[in-house]
Amino acid sequence: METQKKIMAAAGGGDRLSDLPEPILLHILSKLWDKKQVVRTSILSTRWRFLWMSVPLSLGFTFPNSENQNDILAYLALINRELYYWKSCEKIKRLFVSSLRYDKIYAKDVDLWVHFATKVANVEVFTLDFYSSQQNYEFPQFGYKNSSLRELVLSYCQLNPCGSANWSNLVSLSIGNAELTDGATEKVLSGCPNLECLELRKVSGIQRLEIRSVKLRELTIEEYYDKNHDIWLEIIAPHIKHLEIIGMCSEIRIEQTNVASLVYAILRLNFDFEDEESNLEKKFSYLKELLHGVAHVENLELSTWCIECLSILELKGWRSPPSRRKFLELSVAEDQLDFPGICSFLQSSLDLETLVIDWFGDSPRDLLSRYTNKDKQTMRFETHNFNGSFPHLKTVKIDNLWGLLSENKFVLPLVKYLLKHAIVLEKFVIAASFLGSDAFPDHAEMTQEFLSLPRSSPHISVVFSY
Amino acid sequence: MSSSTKFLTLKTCDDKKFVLDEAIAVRSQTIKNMVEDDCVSNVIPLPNVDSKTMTKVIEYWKKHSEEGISKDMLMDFDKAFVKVHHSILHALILAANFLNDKEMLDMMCQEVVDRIKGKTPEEIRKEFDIKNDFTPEEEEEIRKENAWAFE
Repeated sequence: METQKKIMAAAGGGDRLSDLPEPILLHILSKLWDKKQVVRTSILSTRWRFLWMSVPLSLGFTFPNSENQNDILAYLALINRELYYWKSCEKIKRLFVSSLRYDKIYAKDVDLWVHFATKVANVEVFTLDFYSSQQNYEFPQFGYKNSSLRELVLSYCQLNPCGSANWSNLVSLSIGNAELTDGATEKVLSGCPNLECLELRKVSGIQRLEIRSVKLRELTIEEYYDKNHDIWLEIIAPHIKHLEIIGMCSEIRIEQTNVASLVYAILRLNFDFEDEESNLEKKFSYLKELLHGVAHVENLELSTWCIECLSILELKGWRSPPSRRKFLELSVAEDQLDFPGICSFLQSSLDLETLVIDWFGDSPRDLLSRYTNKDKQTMRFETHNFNGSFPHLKTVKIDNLWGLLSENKFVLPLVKYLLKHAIVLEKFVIAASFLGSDAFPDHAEMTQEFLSLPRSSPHISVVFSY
Repeated sequence: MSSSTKFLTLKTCDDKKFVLDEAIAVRSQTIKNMVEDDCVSNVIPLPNVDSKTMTKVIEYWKKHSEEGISKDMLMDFDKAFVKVHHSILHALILAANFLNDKEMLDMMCQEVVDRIKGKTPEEIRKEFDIKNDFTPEEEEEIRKENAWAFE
C-alpha cells in the first residue's frame, strides 16, 4: 500500500477546515453517506490528497430483490468492481453484504469478498447475510486465519475448518442458518481466544456446545433445531454470565453445574402446541429441566409461552424449585388463566427484589384451556393459599399498559395480590406502552384506589410513567 | 448532593474570565475530570479557547441545561446555533474537542458533513474557502488515478 506523505497543512488565508486535527477530519469524512464523495475530496488541496485513504469506512451492499439472474450477476460484478477500487483505502472498517440468494455458482465471487475482508482491507466488522438458499456457502479455508476481525456475522455459510481456526481478535461471532458439527464448532471456538459474545441462530447438528473460554460471557441461541427429536443440545459453559434462548427450539439441556457463573437467563422460548399429547409432556419436562438449570441466576426473564406451561405444570401439582433470583421479568398475557401459575412461580422466588411484569397483550391460552377454565382459575387464584410473603421485594413494575386502568380487569387482581404479599414494597411503577400524558386518563383515581387496598408494606409510592 | 450552587471561573486564552455554575461547566468532560481530581484551585485556564468562542459554548451549555425546555425548542435552538460562518464552526469544533463535550462536537461535525454532502469538489472549496494548491496537471492526474469515484 502506498505510504502516505506527510503533508503540512496548506491552509490559505481563510481555509480553516483543512486545519482541523486529522482525527476530526477523518471522523467528518467517515460520516459522509456517499463513499465515493470521500474519494473525491482528494482533489480539494494537497492536505486532502491522501486523507480519504485513512477514513474508517463502512461499505454495504444489499442485493436487489429480483429473481432475474442477470440482475444478480450485474450486482455481483458491481461489488467486485467496487472492492477492486477500494483496495487502496487503508481502512475499510465494515463490510456488509446482504440479501443474496446464494447459489454455488457465486462461490468464487463470495470467496473474493472474504479475501478482501480478511486479507486485503483488514476489515473489523464483516457480515455475509445471505438468505434462503438451497446450498450453503462453504467458508473458504484461507478466511480462518485473521487478526483484524472483531465482529463476524455469517448466515447460510458452512464452517468446516480443516486445521485450526485463528481469529485472534474476534469479539463477537454470529452464525445463522447453518448445519454445524461438534468438531467444527470446537475448532472455531478454540481459535477465538478473545470471543465475548456467541450467537447461534437457526443452527442444527450440534449436540454438545462446550465453552471453556473465560472471556466468552454471552451466549444466545435462537431457534436451535434438530430433525431428530431424540437428540438434544447440551450446553457446558461454566464461565458465561448471560444466556438467551429465543424462539422455537428443540431440546436444550442445561445443568446448574455447567453454567455455574450465569447471572442473566432470558428464556424467550415458545413452543409449538400443535404437537401431540406425548410431545407436550416432553416439552413440559424440558421446561422443568431448564428452570432447574437456571434456578441459581440473579436475573430471569420468561416469555408468555413459558408462563402458560408453568400454569399447566402448577395445575399438575409441580412446584418450581427454590431459586436465588433477585430480578424477574415475566411477559404476561392478558389472561387471568395464568394467575395461579404466576403466583406459584413467585413463591419459588423468595429472594426477589424487583419484579417486572411486561404486559404482552392478547395471547391465546388454547392449551391451558384444555386443562381448566376461567372460572376455575379465578376460584383457585382467590381461594388458594398462594400466600408466602416476599421478604425482599422492593420494586414492582407493570410495563406496556395504556388506557383506563379501572376498566382493565386483569391488572387490579395482580396489583391486589402483590400489595398484600410484598411486605417491604417501596415502589409500584405502572409504565405506559407509548409516550404521552394521555396514556392513563384515570391515573389519579387509580393511585388512590391502589393505596386504599389492603397492603403489607407501610411505605409504598405509586408511580405512573409515560 | 449539596444544595448550594458552586461556581467555577474559567479563563480563556485572551484573558477573559467567565464565572459559571459548576453543574453546567461539567458538561465539559475536561473540566469535569479536573473538578473530580480536585485540581481546581481558583481559575481554570482554557489556553485553547478564545472568549468569543467560549461565549458561544456557554450559550449552548446554558440552553441545554435549562429546566423544562422541550425537545422541539432545543432542536430549533441547535438548528440556529450551527448556522454560522465556517470560521466560527471551526473554532467551536476545536473548543468542543478540547473541552471534550462529545454531544456538541458531534453536532458541529454533523453540520460540516451536511455542508459537504452532495457538493462537487469545487463547491466544497467555495463553501470552506479551501485554496486549490494543485497545478492543473496535478489535479488532472489525481482525477485519473481515482477516476472510478468521479464517474
